Amino acid sequence: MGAAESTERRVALVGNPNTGKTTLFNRLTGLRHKTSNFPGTTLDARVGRLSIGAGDHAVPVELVDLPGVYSLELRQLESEVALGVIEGRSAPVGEAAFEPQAVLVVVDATNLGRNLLLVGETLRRRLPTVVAVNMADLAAKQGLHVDAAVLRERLGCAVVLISARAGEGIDELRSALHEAVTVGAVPTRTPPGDEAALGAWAEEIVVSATSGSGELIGRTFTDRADLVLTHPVLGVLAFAGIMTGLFLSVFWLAQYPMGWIEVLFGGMGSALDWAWDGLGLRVGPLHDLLKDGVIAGVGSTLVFLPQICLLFFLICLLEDTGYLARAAFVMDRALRPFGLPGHSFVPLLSSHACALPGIIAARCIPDSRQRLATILVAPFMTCSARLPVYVLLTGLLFKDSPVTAALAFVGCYALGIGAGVLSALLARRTILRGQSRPMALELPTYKRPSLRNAVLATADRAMVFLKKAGTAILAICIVLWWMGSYPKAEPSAQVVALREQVKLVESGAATAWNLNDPAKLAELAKLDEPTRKKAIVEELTALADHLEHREAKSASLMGVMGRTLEPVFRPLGYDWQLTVGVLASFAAREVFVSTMSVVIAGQEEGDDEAANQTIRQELASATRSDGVTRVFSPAACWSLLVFYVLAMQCLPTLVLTSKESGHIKWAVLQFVWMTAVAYGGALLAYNLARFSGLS
Amino acid sequence: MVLRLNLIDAIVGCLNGLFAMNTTPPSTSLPQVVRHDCASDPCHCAGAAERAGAEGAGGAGLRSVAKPSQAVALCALKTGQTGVIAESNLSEDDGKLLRAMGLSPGRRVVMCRTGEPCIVAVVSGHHHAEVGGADAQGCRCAARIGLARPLAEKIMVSVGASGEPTRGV
Amino acid sequence: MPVDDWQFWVTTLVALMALGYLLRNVLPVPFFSKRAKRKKHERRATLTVSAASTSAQEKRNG
Repeated sequence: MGAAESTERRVALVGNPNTGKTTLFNRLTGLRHKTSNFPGTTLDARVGRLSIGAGDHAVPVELVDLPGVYSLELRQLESEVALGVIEGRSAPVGEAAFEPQAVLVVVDATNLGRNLLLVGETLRRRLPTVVAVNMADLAAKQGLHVDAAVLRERLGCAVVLISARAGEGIDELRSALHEAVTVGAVPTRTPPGDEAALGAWAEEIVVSATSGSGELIGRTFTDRADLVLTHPVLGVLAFAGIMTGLFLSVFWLAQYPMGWIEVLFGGMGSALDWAWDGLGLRVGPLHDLLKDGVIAGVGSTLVFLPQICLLFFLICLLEDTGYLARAAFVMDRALRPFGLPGHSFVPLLSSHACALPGIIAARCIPDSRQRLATILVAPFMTCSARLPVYVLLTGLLFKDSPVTAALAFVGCYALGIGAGVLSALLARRTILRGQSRPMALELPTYKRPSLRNAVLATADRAMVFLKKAGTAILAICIVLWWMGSYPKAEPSAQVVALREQVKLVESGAATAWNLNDPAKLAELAKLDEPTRKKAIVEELTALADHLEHREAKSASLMGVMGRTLEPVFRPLGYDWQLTVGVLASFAAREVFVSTMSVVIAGQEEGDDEAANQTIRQELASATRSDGVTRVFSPAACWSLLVFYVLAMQCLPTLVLTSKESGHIKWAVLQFVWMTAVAYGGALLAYNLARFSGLS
Repeated sequence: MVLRLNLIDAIVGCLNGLFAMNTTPPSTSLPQVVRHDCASDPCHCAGAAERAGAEGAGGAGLRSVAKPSQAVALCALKTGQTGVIAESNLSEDDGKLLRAMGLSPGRRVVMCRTGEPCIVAVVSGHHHAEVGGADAQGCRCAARIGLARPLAEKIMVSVGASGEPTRGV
Repeated sequence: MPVDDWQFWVTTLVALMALGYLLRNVLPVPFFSKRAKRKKHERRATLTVSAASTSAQEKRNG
């Protein structure tokens, strides 16, 4: 018995992988579940609540979804966790540990022989057991008939034929569960304990409980499809095609909700201004914190949510079809030379949306060294947060050549992937040396994916992203805002003079003005007097605001850090302004563009495209303190591009690496290695660009 | 559908020939299994294979067998070839996992795709798998497992005599 | 620093809270970190580099 007993009835849900356990769990609990971990591990633990029985006999039950296992007696984390929960020694974080009142074992009707091994091991635990024979509809289509009555008699426990996907047999299952938790009858048969005898026992039961023709090995759709999808050449081509389609779909579809989110947060900023005005409050630090810290911070996280959700939704659908196992199979050949298994492909793919869910997905990798290597290199994959930086820099580099800009974009992806796999190879040859665990992977039959499962899984992942990234990035934006706002600087003499000029022009006392732009002056000369005065006042005010912002940024803690660390980044072609942007990005990449906009242009990009164009033009033409060298020179842009492809600039990812790897030293190593590679790469890029005359 | 699938077979066969991954001609590239009426004559798999070989001698690709079965590494099976798992030289952990996945001694396996990794179908429910609506007892349940060579070469399977593959129509 | 501006103090307090939240989730300082506190009540993380689970190691060690 576990340490503490609860009044709630617990049912442990166990089964082989690919038996439809998740579908059944979702069918029984719907959205009434929460996801946590098993103590001391990074395995997902889902706990759902449901009520079984009718009327006065209804019983509330807690259903604990255990990891898919082939056996309870393997020396694997999943098996140990499953066994721990069944024996009452362990429970998901936040739940009391006690022996479950019943065990629900899900088996695959089309693969009964193998599944009965786990049933046998579970029956030996002498707990009330219900066996759900899932995919009974699929078996029937194959001409395979499973006799539940014979199974019931041979196993000595309740057996129900179900189709979790179609919802068939669920009521009978709930009745069987109700009886198991209320009556609590233990199985009447005890399977043999010896492994070989258990195998023979399972075979015997299958022979007696099944009949019909079954599927014809080699003739099924699965076999036909596998001829192509696992072929050394066609399989790779199919894989490339499917992945390209996946990414194009994500980026094409996600742009719409991303645009809506940007408009929403722009509107929230305007609503804040309106409310502030309405309340008669002074526009000061608190207003700026709410607008530039909180709203901008939340917005900068939520804007990536559509891409992450879409990518995960499509990955879940692919996984449900059975294709991802084939992709892992195909990629195993490609990744094994780098010390990574085929299983690494899904985490690395997911990291292209965001490294956080990608690192979590690495839990599926059985070998611990390979899992750690995957976690360490996942941030090399170009994530969504890097895209605004790529867009800015490729736009500055290839203003008039969108095709070349697109190629550079693709090159960034390739550079990230290349750096990742090479780093994995280095790690596997040095600090994570050891024999790789050879691949043994079940390839499930192809089937139609479940939209419901995909939606629920995506919602789970989205919550993980929001909780982990959202809270951390919001905190980072608030801290960065403060560091960029204080200490305050007194306005310089130039700013004071400009403000004085504005007053003089407004009062009509000044007829000359301090504008150095001949084109602008010529334009103003054409206007009539009142309009010209208004335009001059606006121009001078904008100039004064711009200068004041820049001076404020320069005097702030962030600016001081930028100027102090400028010598470190000077070899890469960065001045203090770029250094400020890079330093701010070490906490969260997405702040680079807004930081540079504020530091250089004195304002952030907003909804006004014309204003945004002006900001981009200012960035393109901005000069350093010498007044001559461009801040965003071509060489500096190449250097920045390479730096951002390779650098570790995401605090939430470092935190998660530390958690998933079990020790902060791996997060430190990840940060140091990626920063070193980024610095070296950027240095090389800058010097190559200068050498080719692109200074 | 049939025409499209035959076209796929042809393309796959050409590519296989081009890259020398699998020299089996397209018409026999799909796994074939032995037909045997076990309800009337339950027997050991190798013996069944012999009888099936004699019965179906008129079929394409079938060879009669004369000697007891030999044990070969799983990765040595050709596409479509069947065997019965005899023993394995795997580590304790790997062995336990693969047995839990269904690759235990006495189980019949069908090589679906050779190469690295290879794909084998593990047939459960009966010693013999059937082709075409056979009415013999047993489950034609199968699990497909992708196995890397370091594992596949340590699993020994019994095949037909004289080292010849056991094929059926 | 505009020390006579109440808004400065409010925003500074919020920024300090945000900084505290970040440090608490990043640094493994026992007093500071809720993760370090939680560790007292949990098993050690079982991801080891030797490809064996710690519970199996514990069993072997007796």
